[in-house]
Amino acid sequence: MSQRSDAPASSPRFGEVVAAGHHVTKVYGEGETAVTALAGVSAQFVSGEFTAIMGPSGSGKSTFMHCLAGLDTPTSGSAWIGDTELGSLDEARLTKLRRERIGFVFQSFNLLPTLTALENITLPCDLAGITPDPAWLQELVSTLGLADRLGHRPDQLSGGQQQRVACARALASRPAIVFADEPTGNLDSRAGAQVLSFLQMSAEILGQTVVMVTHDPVAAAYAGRALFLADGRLVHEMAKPSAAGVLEQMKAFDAGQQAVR
Amino acid sequence: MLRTTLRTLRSHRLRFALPALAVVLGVAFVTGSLIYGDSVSAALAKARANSQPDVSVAVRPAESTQYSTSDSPDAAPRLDQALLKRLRALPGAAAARGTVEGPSFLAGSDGGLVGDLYRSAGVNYVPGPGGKDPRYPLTAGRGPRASGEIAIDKAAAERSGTRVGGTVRIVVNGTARDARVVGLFTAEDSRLASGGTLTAFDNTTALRQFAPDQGGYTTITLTADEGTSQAQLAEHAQDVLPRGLEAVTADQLRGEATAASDAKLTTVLLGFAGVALFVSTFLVANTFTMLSAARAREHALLRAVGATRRYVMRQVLTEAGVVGAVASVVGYAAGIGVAALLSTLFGDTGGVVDVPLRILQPTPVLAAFGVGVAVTMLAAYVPARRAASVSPVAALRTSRPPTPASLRRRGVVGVTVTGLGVLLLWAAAGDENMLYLAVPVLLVGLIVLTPLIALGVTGLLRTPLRRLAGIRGKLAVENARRNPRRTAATAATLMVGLAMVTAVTVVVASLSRVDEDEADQAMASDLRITAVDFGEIGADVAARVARLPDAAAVTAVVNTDIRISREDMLPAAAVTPSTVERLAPITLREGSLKRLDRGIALEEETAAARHLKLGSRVTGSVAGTERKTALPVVAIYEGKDFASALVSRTQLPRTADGDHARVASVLTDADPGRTAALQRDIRRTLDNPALLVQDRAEVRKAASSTSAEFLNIMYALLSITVLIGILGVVNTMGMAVSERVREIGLLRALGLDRRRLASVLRIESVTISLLGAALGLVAGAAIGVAAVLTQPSVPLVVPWDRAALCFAGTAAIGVLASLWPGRQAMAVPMLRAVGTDTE
Repeated sequence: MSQRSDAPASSPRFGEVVAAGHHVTKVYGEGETAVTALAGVSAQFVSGEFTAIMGPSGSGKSTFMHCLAGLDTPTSGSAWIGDTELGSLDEARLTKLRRERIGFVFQSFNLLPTLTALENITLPCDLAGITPDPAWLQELVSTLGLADRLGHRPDQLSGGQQQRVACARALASRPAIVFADEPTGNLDSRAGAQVLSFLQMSAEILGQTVVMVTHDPVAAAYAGRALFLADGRLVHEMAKPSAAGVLEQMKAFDAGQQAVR
Repeated sequence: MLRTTLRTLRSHRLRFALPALAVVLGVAFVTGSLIYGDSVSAALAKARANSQPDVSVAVRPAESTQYSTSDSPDAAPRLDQALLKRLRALPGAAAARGTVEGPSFLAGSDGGLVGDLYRSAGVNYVPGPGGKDPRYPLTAGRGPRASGEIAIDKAAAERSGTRVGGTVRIVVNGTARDARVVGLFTAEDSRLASGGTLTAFDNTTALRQFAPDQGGYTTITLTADEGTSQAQLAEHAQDVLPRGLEAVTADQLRGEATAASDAKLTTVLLGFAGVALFVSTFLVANTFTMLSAARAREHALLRAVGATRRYVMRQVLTEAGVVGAVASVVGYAAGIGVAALLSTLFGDTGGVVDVPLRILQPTPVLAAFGVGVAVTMLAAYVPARRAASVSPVAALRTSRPPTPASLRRRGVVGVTVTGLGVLLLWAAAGDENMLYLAVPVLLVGLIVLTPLIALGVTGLLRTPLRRLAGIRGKLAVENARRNPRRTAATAATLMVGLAMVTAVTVVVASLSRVDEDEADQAMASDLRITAVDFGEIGADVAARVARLPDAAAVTAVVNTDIRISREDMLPAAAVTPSTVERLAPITLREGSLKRLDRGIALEEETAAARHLKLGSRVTGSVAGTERKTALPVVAIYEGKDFASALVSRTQLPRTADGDHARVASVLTDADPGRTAALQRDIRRTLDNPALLVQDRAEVRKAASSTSAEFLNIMYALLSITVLIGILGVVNTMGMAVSERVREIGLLRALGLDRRRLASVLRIESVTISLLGAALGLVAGAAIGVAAVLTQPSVPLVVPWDRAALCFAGTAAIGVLASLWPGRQAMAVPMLRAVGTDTE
């Protein structure tokens, strides 16, 4: 795939902060039953960067991503997309922001069963009332190998194809940032590798900012940076993570936790 | 098992609320109809049984002669004073009383007549040994003794705002007069029970008013001595009766009365209730189908740990049974309210009827429970079987349930049955009775076919809706298509109700057009004076109108007959020759009416049928006279709706009144521009609330007023079915929301705001509703057209405005039905959908 030549004016330059969380705290419930999912996590994500958020289940990694993406609201602290503080937006503006500046890939149930693959890909553009750039769409579709699958409905696609359709959808409107929540969680390793390479390439070659939540060291190895969360806190950061390195790190946390217990 | 069932029901109670409500409505309708019908017939039976407490035997004209023309020579012998005296002297007879009755009306304080006119009567008050008439026990005052005095029933006194000592306006034989109320009475009389009024006159006055030329009674009743049975007394009486009269026992009379009781109304009501129940089964079936899909894993798990198919099926059916039982209890309670509503609905058309509701009778209680539980379980049967057929492996599979069976077989069956229905409907156009077979067949066929129709129609709607509403339209249409069976069942609930509404509307609109057109054609004069039903126009009315300053032309129209031979009667109208051509809806073809005084004019069809021409002679006698005359045909005219023949009023015998020469109407033209003034003048002059003075517009309106009233009752009865249809749409949309929680969350995450999310549901709901409306309108119109075509002389009127209104109303129903589900959808937490799948 060639370098994007027609980058829109709004698209952030490399190195610019695209999303950030400041002391993000999330507490579920009240009083004695209160559970702290996030205990003040801060992080910045610059444009063109592929970041993996790692951590065992219950570490708060998904909650952190939900707060950053405007799907959930922090109990305290702030989440930013560009220079917009999400807490300052009402429901309608937040919805508008999601559909115009954020792309999503979820673990499962990414696609509407009633729409064809192509319709699913253009869904955010349709919702925003904009026409997707046909050349860009063409490029995405061919890169992801979906050209002959566009008229199919999700139940006629394999799991890997479904996730690739979700990837195409996430990138179709050229969002400022793509959030991927365990995108390979339900896939076999080959299909997972295809999805991960695509995300990696879209960051490195297209300059697309990607934040991926995962608990899989192999998946994290595709990212340019890995953040480690445990018990609702940011405990470590690793540049150019390798699968072995990440695994090592995870084991260290587990051991640490064992020790605490 | 019951405990598991109750637990399931509790956890899904919101799901069951709407189908249960539908069953409640259906059961309430059934219960209400039964309670009302039962109460009415109980009230009537009581009134009949007690109406003549002292009667043992009644003497009346024998059945065979009762309905033959009264002026034939061998008419029944009179029930006169002489006969009364003879019967009174019979061995075993303690007392004998003549009954004479006739139409008599009471005016209220506003000048209008009160009560149900069909059931209002004047009666003779015959004081018995104690000075009182046991039929009409007085509650205040005394019985009437002179011609200016009357006693009236208590309810009538309340309605006309009068009391003992007061004066009330009464109308007898077409003339109004004031009478002094000297007494009030209550009576166990079926006419009172069904909304009429009773006015009691002293015996002489009653005889003069109601039997002027016969000088006799309608019936003579006998009271048996102690020790004499009804049958013995009847036998004695029969011995002395002349031929043509019969003596019947009181028991026989009561038997006849009960046989003719109003079972018909209950049957009709139950029919409507049955339709309401029928459509409520769709809701129940939809809900149980949805639940058995949602709980497929649960059932598979049960099967995996060893439950038999029967167990699973029994579990689902038990749930249905409990839902049905609860709905029946609530439905029965609501049914009491429905009965009260029916009582006012039907009471309103016939005055105030105090029907004491019999709330706890075994039949309605059993029917409510039987019907409620059976209908619910029957509707849940197919879903229950499907639930039981889930294989144990399904519990282990994570994928969605397999796609439902193809619609092909259903399509074939649907096309066949619908086709058969259409054919039957076609045949029904020639034979009314076929309609009762054709309508259900057609509707069932359409119901079977609806899933395919739904797919077809929504397929066609894709492009326009996408263009109109963008991605929302697309999503809505696709959602409506994804479960064609459910969409169809929902649309079908609306279809059934709307088809009936449409069919009834088409039929009634066509029939009232006939009435209006006839009224239009029958009205050639500015004003027409007629009597209310069972009222009479006095013989002097025409003369009094003619004296008014603005009256340009007047004629009375008197119905009479010309007896040509013993078998051959020529019906004719006696009119005023000088004005009839101007006032009556006739067109002169030949001759002139100038010499009608000494001749006869014939309608052209009558003339042709009898081979009579201008100048021929008609030999016969005018009814009421014995003198034969040869009347020359002086004119031939067209206007068979008015009269077959015309004679001059002067040819009527002077004494001919009552049945021989009933004034049917008085027609009059006003001086130019004075119609309204004349109308006011006539009303003031006649001062008779039983006479209607109408101009053309009023005549036209009055002609269709009964059908309008009928239509409103039909709408009221069908509204429950339509209401259940609306509930069906709400139910389906609610189920859709709960099934699509994840999709809704995904859409919201991807940027569909709440408002547009609600509008996606709204479009889907409106689409389903309009599908039902379209099917209902088409099917209903077809049924209505076929019904109209069974009546050869009725023109077909399709009330497009009402159809459009119906369509628009259904769209509104769709919008309303999506409100609650829309709110549910908006409240769906986004993270439910996008959160990691840890299930």
